[in-house]
Amino acid sequence: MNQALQIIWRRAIHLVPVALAATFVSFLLVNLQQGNTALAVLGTSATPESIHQFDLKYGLNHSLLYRYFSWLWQALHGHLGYSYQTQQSVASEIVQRFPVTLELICLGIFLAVITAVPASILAARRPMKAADWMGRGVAMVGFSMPGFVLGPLLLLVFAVKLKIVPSVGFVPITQNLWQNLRIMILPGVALGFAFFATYSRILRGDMVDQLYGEEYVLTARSKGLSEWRVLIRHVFKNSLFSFITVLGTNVGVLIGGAVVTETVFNLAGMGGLLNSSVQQKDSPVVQGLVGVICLSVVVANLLTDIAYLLLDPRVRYGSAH
Amino acid sequence: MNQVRTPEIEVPSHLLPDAEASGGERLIEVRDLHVTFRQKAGDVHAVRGVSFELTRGKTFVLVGESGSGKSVTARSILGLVPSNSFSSSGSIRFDGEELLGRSEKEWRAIRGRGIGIVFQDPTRSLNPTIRVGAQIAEGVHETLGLSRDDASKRAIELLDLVGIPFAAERAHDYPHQLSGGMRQRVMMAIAISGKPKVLIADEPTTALDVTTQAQIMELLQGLQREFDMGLLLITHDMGLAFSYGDEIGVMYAGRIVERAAAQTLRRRVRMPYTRGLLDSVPRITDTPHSVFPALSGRPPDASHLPAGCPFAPRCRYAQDRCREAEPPLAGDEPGQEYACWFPL
Amino acid sequence: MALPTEAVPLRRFGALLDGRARSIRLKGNLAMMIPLGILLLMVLACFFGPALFHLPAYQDGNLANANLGLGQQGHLLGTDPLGNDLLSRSLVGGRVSIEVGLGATLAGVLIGSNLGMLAGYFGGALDTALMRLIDVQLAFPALILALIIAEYLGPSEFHEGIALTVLSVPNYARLSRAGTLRIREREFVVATRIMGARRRHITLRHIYPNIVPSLITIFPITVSVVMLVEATLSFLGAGIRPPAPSWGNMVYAGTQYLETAPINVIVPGAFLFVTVCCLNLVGEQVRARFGR
Repeated sequence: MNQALQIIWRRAIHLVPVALAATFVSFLLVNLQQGNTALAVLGTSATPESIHQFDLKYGLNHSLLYRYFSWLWQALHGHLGYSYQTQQSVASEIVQRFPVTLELICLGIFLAVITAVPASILAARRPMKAADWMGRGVAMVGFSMPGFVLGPLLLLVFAVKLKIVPSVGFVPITQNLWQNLRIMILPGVALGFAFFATYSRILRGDMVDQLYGEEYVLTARSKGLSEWRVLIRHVFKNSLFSFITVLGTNVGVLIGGAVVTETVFNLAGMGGLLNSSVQQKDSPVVQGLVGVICLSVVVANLLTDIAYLLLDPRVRYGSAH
Repeated sequence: MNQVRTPEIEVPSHLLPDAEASGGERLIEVRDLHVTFRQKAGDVHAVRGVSFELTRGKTFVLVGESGSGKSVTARSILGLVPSNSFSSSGSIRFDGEELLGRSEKEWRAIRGRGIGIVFQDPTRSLNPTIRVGAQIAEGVHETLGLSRDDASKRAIELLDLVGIPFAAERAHDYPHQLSGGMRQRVMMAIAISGKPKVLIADEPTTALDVTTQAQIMELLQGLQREFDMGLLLITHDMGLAFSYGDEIGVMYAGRIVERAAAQTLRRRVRMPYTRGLLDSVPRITDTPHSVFPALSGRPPDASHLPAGCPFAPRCRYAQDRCREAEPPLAGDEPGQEYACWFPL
Repeated sequence: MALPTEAVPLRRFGALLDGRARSIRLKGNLAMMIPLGILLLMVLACFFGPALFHLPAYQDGNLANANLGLGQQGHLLGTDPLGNDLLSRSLVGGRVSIEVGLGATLAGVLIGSNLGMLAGYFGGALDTALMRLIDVQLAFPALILALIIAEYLGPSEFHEGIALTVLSVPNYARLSRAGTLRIREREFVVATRIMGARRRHITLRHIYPNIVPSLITIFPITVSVVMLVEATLSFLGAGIRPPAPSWGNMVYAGTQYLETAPINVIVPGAFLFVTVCCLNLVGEQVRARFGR
């Protein structure tokens, strides 16, 4: 166990500078834009006086490095600056929008998992038969279908033509669970579809590898266990390891997908905010969001490592007596 | 190479097979078994007409180099050939019932119940993420229908039987927490948990160090005696074959090329391949730095077997007839058969 | 002086490639040939179709013809909200996706594989620096990084290309680094003993042939990913902007008319889907045959 904690500690130490470096890189990128920021935001009719005020307010008269470190220092205290556009506190905007994105991502993962697990178990049970080919076909569609095409198509079929779910009108989950789910189900499917493809492919591949390559499968069969029991109790259980790793490392892709999904479905989440703030060159917001997002990705990776270490008995219980 | 005497083991009666259920003397009869794997590169004839019998209380040893088909033969008896595209023909009878051609459901009836099997590498044969006690209890729960509690208790009893100290605590360990020898004992506990009449041991000691090898073989013999089982031992080690075998079958390129009782074989070897195998076992009586007569060459590729006797390319005594036609397994004396045109 | 039997110095680049290419052709692989054929057709259609078949213009359309349905008034796939022919607009729009998709990936291959090779060969500080940079880049979700780069440089095809090249580099860098490390272990030792001072030259000639197969293995899939990201960028407004067509921005324009004229979403969406799907299918086959 000690060994495991050491590994986790070393990973954490490794990842923190990476997250910091990521915020620095984004700071650089955000300042790539040519021309005067104040001018771009205030418009061509701005007076020199107002430009000067703007610069003072946002500290734009200082050097890049100074601005980065002052941003970092403020950020560590929870102050992420103020939006150029709305003058609102960036931190409060992010906090407002965070739950929506969180719900979307969780819903996407949930839908992907509850469909991928049975599909891949069925596929592994009878490889190269109907269930397997169907699953792989659907997965291929999932890999190839862009989210911004799937979203509108789902809207067209289910909201417009069939009128099963509303197309607008977000209701927070705390207010009315049912209405909230009705609105969130289509975005959840749109986001989760590609991940169904990834998860089912990984799971199926891992299970088939075990069924044909591992000796303990033979032992399990020699005990007289049914094929289903062998598959679920021995093989699937072991596949969970690579599955959890995939879940964790794909968090970044999920967040990226959320940007598209929120834009398509007009959801007031962090992704939609990122898109609009990047377009408006609202740098404090962009920088703040990127900081939060990179941190989340890094934390997710760390949590995945921890989960892996906790679950693998070989690490938890050390070696032979 | 003397017969090894093993110490006594005390086996509680509820772990043994029922007295009434004890069948006849001949537990396993294999007749003309053929197993062919269909592959794109060409068919692989892994087993080409193997026949032998396993009797209650006796040990039959299948000896041969890797690739001779001995493992495939052993696994065929339980229908555990790990491939989708293979065909088999011939007959395997267990207690008078035909085994070949069974459906999965029918196979499950004997696996773990009438016939138990121990594999070569206990590190890979045990699931690394399930506790050893649970892996034993699982088998007993399924095949004997014991409740989960009873199955767990039985698992501890079995661990104790195979000589694992502090069985109750060890049952909660994971495989990697045990040494190689202990893991193999766990495998054996699994194999005998279903009160089998036949035990198949596929190279049970190959992955272990020498001292552990002896302990495991002792345990195996002791269990065989107490359970009055027929033991099918697969090995490439001639020394092991002579120490523990009652009858020995030497396999080469998918066939048995010499078969005799151990004592008979000890007196006289007829097939040059067997002679070569025997000669390559170092003896303690050899003088230091004496020349080591190892068999040259390698076993033939099972997908491209040459015409004639498959051993001919490596045989010191090979003649033209050997390269033309494959010699049948036959004998001029009762109790010893060999497949050679010009036996020694 | 006998050469050790293991290392084979001076493997010809062509010979190595030929062996594998032959194994693909011999199998007569329909699963790869059909999507590959469709892809070729798509490329030809996008670049030469409108001219070859004298299709209606793809821009400056007549508003009076807006949102026509399939097959109406000589427009095979209808028209968009501004009256432009959807078929020709989609074909022209495809040019961008193909150019950027291929171009950015190839640039990523060139830059990434060389970086990875240098890092793997020289090791030390260079290697550590490259690995850290890749780690930092991977802390960014790919789409978000590309979005920021493309938008802040100014939305255009070229800037999209830069953003997507940056995205492609890590995969190829890591792959070629790993391959280089493997070769370095093997050939280096032999070459050092035999060839003496020429070892660097020889080792470099050994490294390329051994890396290329693994790079080819992931090539189609990375192109498809880059195409998807490019289309997403255009959809979000960070890439090609109207009136210049691209599959992404056409879908975006189409979402405004989703209820009344869904073909605006379906047509460009279908083009994109088919292209990406074929790339993925080819990629799967390539991986199965080429991969070890």
